Amino acid sequence: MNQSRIGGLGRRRVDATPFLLLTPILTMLTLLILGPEIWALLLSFTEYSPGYAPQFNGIKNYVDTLKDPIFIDSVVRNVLFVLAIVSLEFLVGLGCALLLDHDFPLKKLWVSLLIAPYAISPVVAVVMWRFLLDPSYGAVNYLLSVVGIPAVAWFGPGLRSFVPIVIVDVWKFSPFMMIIAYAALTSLSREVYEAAAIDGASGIQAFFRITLPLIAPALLVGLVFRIIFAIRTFGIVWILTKGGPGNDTGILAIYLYKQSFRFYYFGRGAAVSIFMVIITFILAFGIIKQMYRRIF
Amino acid sequence: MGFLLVFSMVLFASGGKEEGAKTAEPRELIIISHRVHKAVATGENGKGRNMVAEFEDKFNAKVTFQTYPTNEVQDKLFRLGPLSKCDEDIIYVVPQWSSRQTAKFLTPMNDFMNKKPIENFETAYPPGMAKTWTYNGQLHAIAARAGTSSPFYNKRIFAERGVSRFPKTPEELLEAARKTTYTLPSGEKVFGFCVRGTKWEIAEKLPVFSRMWEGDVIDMDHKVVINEPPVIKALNLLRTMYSEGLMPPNWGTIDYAEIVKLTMEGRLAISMHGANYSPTLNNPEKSKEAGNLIPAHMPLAKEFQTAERDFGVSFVWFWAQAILNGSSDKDLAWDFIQFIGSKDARAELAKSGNAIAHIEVMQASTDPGIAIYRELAPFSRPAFPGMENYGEIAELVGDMVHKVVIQGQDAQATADAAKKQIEAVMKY
Repeated sequence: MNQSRIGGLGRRRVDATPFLLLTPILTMLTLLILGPEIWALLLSFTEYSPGYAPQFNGIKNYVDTLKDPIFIDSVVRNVLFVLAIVSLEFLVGLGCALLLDHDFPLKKLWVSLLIAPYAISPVVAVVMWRFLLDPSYGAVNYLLSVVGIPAVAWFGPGLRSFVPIVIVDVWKFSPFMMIIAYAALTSLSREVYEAAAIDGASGIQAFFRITLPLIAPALLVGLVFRIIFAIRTFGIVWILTKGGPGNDTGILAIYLYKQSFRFYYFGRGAAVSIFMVIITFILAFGIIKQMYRRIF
Repeated sequence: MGFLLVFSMVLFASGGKEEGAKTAEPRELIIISHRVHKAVATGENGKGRNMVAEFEDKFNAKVTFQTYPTNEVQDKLFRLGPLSKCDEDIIYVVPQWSSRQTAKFLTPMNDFMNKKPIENFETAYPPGMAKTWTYNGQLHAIAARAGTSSPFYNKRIFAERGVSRFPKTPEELLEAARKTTYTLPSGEKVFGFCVRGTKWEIAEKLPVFSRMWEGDVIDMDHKVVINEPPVIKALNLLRTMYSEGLMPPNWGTIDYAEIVKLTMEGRLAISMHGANYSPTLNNPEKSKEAGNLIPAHMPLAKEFQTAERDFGVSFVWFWAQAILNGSSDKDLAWDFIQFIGSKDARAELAKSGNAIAHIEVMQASTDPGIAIYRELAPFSRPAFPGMENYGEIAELVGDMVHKVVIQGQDAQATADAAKKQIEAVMKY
């Protein structure tokens, strides 16, 4: 084995082979992951539009972005949107997982049906929902009218425009939380519950004192993933509303897309992407900290 | 020595053969365009000849269309334009993208035109369209497809609801929309009026409405007049229609596909389309309302009507063919533009459903939508002047329209704010 002495006399010998073996993959990762990130960071300090050479402009893109009320609105909207959908997905996913943790007829079929939305292509799913929710000829309004509920003007102004987005997102991504929670639930030992029952614990007590603490690490991992993915939500919003009406459903990824690919301000778009990383970190930090505390 | 001589002769001969075979191979021409340009050039509907195949035969070329939605064609222009060399040769462009900067991405055409002129170019092609893409005396793009946006009315619905003719004034338009909005026995609603409502689409259409009062959003001299009475009246008209439920409640998300679907299903009494959409909307294989959808002129406010013209001038739009600066075979690219620019080729493209940019072909057309365009073209102009950052301007205009029409904000105050925003960022 190729060994080399690192450091002076008296130090332990370090095997260089693992480092050599890791070098190709580390180089590749650096080029593929760090490279574009560094490029985006550098770009964010330039004024760069097609046909013009990039010009260094210091922190102007960051200042201009922070001064833009549409950006601030997008941040607020994005944070509220993330909190809403991740909370709902958590509750729906956990609820479904708890139901699936019991034996009942056709359970495998139910598992498949509940997971199905997650397996469908996002674009197909969103287009399907767009037709279902169409106020003029959508099936949802038709079904509502059958039971005597007046037609809902989906995609109307204000909060109404966000409702279809939240519905589609929760429908699409709750199965992700469900899978994680269900996997964690199936790994729990039944003996703990038997012991709790002997001690006289009620079902609710068993859930809050035993189930939830034991599956919490898995749920936290799921939540971190969902927060990271939810912050950069783009496809659902773009296909359903394109950020409208007005900017009522304009969230950060829509703002970034417009800056970069509608207005062709690549430097400004890069600055927005850096802000998105920071916001993601802030939102996920608490959960990551909690997760490390519980796991390690 | 003799062996070497024979060997080298064989090698030379075989090399020559290879070279000969190479020159016999078709030259490649790659075209970036919207899907419709490929459809009309290749005669997809079976009515016109396949002009691309004829070009390929004549010039021993292989033409490949790479097709994208309009905004992605613009994206391609901005990405490929700055390159000194690229595989793509021709790109289709619209007037809103015309600026000194984008002209730098394209090959000047005067030399080509002098050496191999397009048949009757001076008289057959509208000079205004050529002017849009002329910088420093150099033409940069040739109009290939042109038309206007016009209202189509459903004559069955009009007859059933007691509306005798298409409205001539904005007030009549509102009344007609009111009369033709109703609920079918099935519970489905028929809307009196609709125009595409996404921000980018309504931004382009706002000038059409303001021109019912002879106004503009940004005039051809780049003066921002978005807060002047014609635009305010147009905004208030749209707001009234939306708030009274004469337009679909999801109007802000209605795009091209959705408005065509609603129109062909008989769910819209008046809807805005390209004037050349008559064959599409009245196609009996796809439309429930085939034969009922009639193109008309935009109304015009009474005070602006004259003996010469009693209709709004809508706007003229056109697509033009340009040669990318990085094209590796500009001669072949020009050969294509010249070939497809002849009267014969343009007539075939028209049969395939192309909106006609060739004056002589347009005059011979019997399509009612083309007749609308023919009457309107001498008075009309593009929706916006050319500018570098049309995307950003369209966003601001569309945003303003949504704020007034959907969110119910005050038209004058919102337009005043939009004017300031536009003036601060517009580049041309």
